[in-house]
Amino acid sequence: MQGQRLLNRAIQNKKPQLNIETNKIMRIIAFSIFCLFLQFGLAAQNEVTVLSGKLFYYPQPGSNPILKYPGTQLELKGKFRCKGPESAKLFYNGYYFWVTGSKLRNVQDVVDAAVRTNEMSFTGRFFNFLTESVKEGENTENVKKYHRKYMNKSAGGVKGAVPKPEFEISPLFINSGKLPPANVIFKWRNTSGEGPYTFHLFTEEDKMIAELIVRDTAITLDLDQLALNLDEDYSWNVTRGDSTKSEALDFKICPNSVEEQQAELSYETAFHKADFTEQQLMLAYMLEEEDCFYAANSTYARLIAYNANNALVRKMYASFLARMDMLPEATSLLSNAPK
Amino acid sequence: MLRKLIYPHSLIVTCLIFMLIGLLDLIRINFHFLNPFNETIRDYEITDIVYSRLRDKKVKKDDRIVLVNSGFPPSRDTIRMILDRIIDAGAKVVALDITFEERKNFQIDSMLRQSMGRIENVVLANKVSGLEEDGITFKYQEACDTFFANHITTGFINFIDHDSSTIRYFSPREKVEESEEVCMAFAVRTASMYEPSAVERLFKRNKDFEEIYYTGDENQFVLLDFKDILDVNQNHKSTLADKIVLIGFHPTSPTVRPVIDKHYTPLNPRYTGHNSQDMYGMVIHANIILMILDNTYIYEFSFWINLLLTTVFCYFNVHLFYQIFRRVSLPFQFITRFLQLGEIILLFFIVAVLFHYYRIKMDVAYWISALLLTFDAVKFYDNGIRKRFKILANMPYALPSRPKRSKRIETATEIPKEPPPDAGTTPAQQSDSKQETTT
Repeated sequence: MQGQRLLNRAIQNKKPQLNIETNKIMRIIAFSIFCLFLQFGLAAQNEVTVLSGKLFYYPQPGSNPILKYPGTQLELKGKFRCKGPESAKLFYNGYYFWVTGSKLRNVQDVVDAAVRTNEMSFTGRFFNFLTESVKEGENTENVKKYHRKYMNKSAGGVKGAVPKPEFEISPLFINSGKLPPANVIFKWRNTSGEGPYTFHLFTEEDKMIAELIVRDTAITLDLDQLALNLDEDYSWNVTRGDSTKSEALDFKICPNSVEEQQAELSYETAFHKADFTEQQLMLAYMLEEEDCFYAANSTYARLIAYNANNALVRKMYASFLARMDMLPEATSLLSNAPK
Repeated sequence: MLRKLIYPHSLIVTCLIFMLIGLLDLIRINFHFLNPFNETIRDYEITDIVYSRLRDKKVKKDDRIVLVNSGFPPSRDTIRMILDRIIDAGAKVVALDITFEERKNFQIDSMLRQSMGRIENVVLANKVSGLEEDGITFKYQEACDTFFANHITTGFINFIDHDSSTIRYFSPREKVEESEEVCMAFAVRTASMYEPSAVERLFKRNKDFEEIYYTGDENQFVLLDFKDILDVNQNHKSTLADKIVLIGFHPTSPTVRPVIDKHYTPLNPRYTGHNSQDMYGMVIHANIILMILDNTYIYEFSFWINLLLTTVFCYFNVHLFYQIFRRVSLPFQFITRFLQLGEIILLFFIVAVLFHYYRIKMDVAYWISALLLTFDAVKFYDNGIRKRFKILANMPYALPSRPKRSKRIETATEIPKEPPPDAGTTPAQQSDSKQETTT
């Protein structure tokens, strides 16, 4: 009896010790797993390897370029550009991607875009987009619904509750994003009121660099003549009188955006197999994805002029206009379609 | 238990199916108009879809092999300079996927050979040719002049592509008459210099040819152009030190990719019909080296295990189809066709999963053939053969269960009952016999 009691006590005494041991082991295992993940995470996040080709790497703004060869690494925080028109293949976190051209780019931006792109193939993305556009551009009703839905999404409204616009003049979104350097037509919607419009151009620090008085709702500017810097952010807005004004739209000058997108597309086998119209649609899609709305609009406009009877082009252009908040143009495009 | 699994009629149908498959295998259909189809099918394996479509898009970068483009045609003087730079950078093994077929300029050739001899671990490419009648021994080693081959180690670069244009297999070693030693493949020789134990593992498998396990395309390797190597301002130590460096033709441009030493592989995005070559020879060698170093061989079942599995699969399918045939005669066709389709999809899924995750390759061609023949074989047997032979007609579908020992004493005196006249017939046949008696 006493022996049994002693045994019970011994077991009771042992139990907490066992728990402490188990906890210790569990903690060590958890810590090891954490370290392992941390190691993988850090390794995956900081390193971009050059697989082939050469490029100039700028670790910090204003620093001298470092020529990077295959097998060497770049850090995500720096910038880079290829040597002339050459291409380089980069590797990051299990994905590889080609970069072309001498444009200076953030490593982080390129990596982010490549990872996004790699998650779904181009063809997959394009055909998803195509299906959606054709569905939304089927008739004027669908376009209106699509426009409403898209604009709500853009404005961040909850369940259709879009905040009231605080600006009376509506500028066209196609004049935002990346713009070509020459002969850009800035457009806005007409509003009730008297007097001419005043067009303003600002730098990133809101310093006004141009002010023009306009009677119409459009102005053509040769941005090259204004000596704007490439890859710097600018904005524009329009006012009428003292109180009526438009929202300021941001833009930057990108002279080779169409060529760059064409070069990107040239790596896609689907692009080579496509006919001219399909290729132009792909280009327009890529331009829109890269915020080159103005160039995308021009591409669609050229395409519709060239191929007025093509229902697919018409539908895709209509859905594009709807996304650009140009519903009247979208509906008129669909209603004027040849029977 | 075993008696419950034995169904005499299903066994007979299974044998019938195997005879049919054997017969079809013997009569090779070789019509001219079927040739393009045959050619396409011959070049296709189910696992190709796993490689080309189901492969993970993420690339695992390899840190042991570096590829160097020699340009085309490679100049021997340039190769010498590349070689010197690579050896200076501390490469562990240098393998040249370039053939030095004849002597050109004595001075340049001598200097090149001198550079090759700077380290022991240099491999040159040659070819074995002139297969003897025994089908085992080759007559010659060629494509590498003795000026180089007598001093530097060589490995043959032949790929096995007799039956199909797709490179799936390679031979690790071959016997050559003129050579006392067994000749190793280029990739095997390179791997043996980098990690001899890995090649020992390969030879222990004792296989005449190995199927190549492709870990990926060229995007998993760092690719340097010869101009990068020759740039004296650049130090390549960090990239090349202690690595296997493969030198051969591989363009660095994404757009200009001439079809020189370019082959079809299972990774080709278009796995059937007309397509274009997708992989340069140097990348195929690199894949073989990786497979040897990582011990990632493809496993296949032996002939006997395959036969056993096919028999079991066929037998259970026959039994299933027979059960359906006996119970429901009218929608039999619909149900079985649906089952066949479902089973083929399931089989493909199993094959893909086994190959993708475990590198186990299953040959399900006979499984599918058996599955496709089962429907007709069951119908043909039950309606055509069984009715004509009395023994078969009287044979019960399932073996009668063995009587229990304890009850034997009580039932021993009982007169055994005759089986009912309808036993072992389909509902359709039963209704037929009833009609006959009424008339």
